[in-house]
Amino acid sequence: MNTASLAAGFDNAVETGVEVISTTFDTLFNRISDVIELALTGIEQVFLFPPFYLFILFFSILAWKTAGRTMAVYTLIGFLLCYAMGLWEETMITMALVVTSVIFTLVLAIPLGVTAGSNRKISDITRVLMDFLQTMPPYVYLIPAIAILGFGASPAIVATAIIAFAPAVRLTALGLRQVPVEQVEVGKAFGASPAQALFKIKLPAALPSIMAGVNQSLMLALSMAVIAGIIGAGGLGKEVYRAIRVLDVGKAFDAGICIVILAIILDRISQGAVTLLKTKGK
Amino acid sequence: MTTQTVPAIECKHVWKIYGKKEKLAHQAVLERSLTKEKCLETYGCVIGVQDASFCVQPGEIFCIMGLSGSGKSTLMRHINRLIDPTDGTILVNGIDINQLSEAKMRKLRSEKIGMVFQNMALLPHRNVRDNVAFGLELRKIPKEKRWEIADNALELVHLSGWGDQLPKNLSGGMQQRVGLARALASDPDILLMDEPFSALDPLIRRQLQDQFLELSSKLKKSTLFITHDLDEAIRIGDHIAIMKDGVLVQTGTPEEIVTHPADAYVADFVAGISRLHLVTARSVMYPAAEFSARHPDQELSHLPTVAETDDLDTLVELMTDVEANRVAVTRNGRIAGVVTRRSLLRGIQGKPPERMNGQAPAALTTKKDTITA
Repeated sequence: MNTASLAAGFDNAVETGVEVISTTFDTLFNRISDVIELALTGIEQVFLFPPFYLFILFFSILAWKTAGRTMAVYTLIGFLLCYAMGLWEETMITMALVVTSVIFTLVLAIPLGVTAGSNRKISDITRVLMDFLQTMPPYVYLIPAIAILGFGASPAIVATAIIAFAPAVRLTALGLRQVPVEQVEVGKAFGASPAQALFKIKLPAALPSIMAGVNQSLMLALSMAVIAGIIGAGGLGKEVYRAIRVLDVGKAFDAGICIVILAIILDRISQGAVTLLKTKGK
Repeated sequence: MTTQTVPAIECKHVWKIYGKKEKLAHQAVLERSLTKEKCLETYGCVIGVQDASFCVQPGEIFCIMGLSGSGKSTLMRHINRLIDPTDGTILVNGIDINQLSEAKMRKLRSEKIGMVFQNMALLPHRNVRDNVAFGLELRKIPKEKRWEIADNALELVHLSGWGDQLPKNLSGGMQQRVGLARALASDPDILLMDEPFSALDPLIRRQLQDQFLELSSKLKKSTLFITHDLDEAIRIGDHIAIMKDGVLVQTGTPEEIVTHPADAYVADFVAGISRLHLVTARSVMYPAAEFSARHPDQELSHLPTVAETDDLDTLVELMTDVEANRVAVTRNGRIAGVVTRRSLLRGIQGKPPERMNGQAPAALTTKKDTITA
């Protein structure tokens, strides 16, 4: 047996594996797909329901509170620009995609990060897993996602959530490992149970690091949500993809600008929250 | 009262050996009296605490003094079982804490033992009041009640009105007072203080020592106090244990330690300590009979007098005030001895009075010697 046939064998195994999984658990995956789409639609509605100016006002105030006055002005002008380019709905859909994926990611990543942060063995295993997730090219996740969940928004969200997973786990674990020893001792010395020590000492102390993970997840999710336009996710990604196909340079550029604006707003607001948490403690 | 009081804390032959083969190493040290170096070489184990035994009586302050790395903090962490011993027994209020379940141990920690940390270790995300109330919160005491208790504890350490501040807004000295208030809030029987004042500058340190002593005489908590500063141990402790390389080399009252150092190591430590407030007149006097035999012309009843338990400072004051060269020392109202300028000066130096009849000088005597004699 030569190496070429070995490699072909491996490829075949992956393909049949994905196929077997998708046919065997067909109903289960349909359910999951339904749940994901329901969550996405809900969040989309929240973003698109209020008139655009109210939404922009709300985000400007949020930016003011977390990142300062300059950022508030930037948010105001940036979002108005998105509206003026006729891409308001697409921007909100992309933001909904990002927020939905990050919520799904965090629900799994934070508990895993907490476990990895307090257990050496689990930490070693997750580190290998996270290396794998982070270095695998993002496009690779799209195909199995389609195979399992079909074309549309839910495979896009799953692929996005996978991409955003690693930094949230890593930084949560890091935050937990960095809780000062004496604070852990204070918990013990005053009679804290393991749960009390986690919720009253370790998690508050690790919060800035966890929030830094959330910030990283948001950024990765945004880039993936755009890529996922290829497999039928809506929003700015779809717009970019459509514009590329018809070689509409202007429209592609418009959508690109909206993505940059959204990225900066999400980044600065979440980073502002991290700084607020850090300065509160020290 | 014939019932013997139960010590607040009692450690019996406590060993702590770090390493995978701690039990084996412990056996080997016991059976073949292995040295520390051999133990590390053969078993890869480090001896943290070696055969430590001591007793803290209810209401007293017991100081453990030692340099960094001597194992004193490790030893203290056995008392509330933050560390489990390799061998030995630890009794808190007569209860063997290593027999307790985790839940019972937590209850004991939260209700009976308060701890103060060297680096304050306040929780930075909580305000001062919530820091003080932390132990009560863990016990699920309702908010109003625990805030009231916390405010009272803050008043004890003279920090009323600071409850709403975050710890970072307080100076080091104030933060440590918050740490003390936190330990006192649950009204524990026992206070564990791990070098509480070491990180503070000397002036603040002395202020806090005074405040603590005042508070302690009021509250009468049994206190285990760790320090690397012998002056502090002498100022604060009713009893002092000197620790070196994991071993308690000497335990006694401050006066015993200063006047009867057990070995060269302790002697070296106490060499620079001022004896003025530690050593009593009894220790530096010539016995009355001996003195009279040598100086028959001196009428003892004409001399100014001090009690035998007065300290050297009193003697110095008296001698400089009335320009007396000799002072009579009384015991139960009768003259027991005489202090001369010469014997007083020798006493301040840490030497006993030389014998008038040419015998070798005896060691300085202390309060405890005469009581037990």
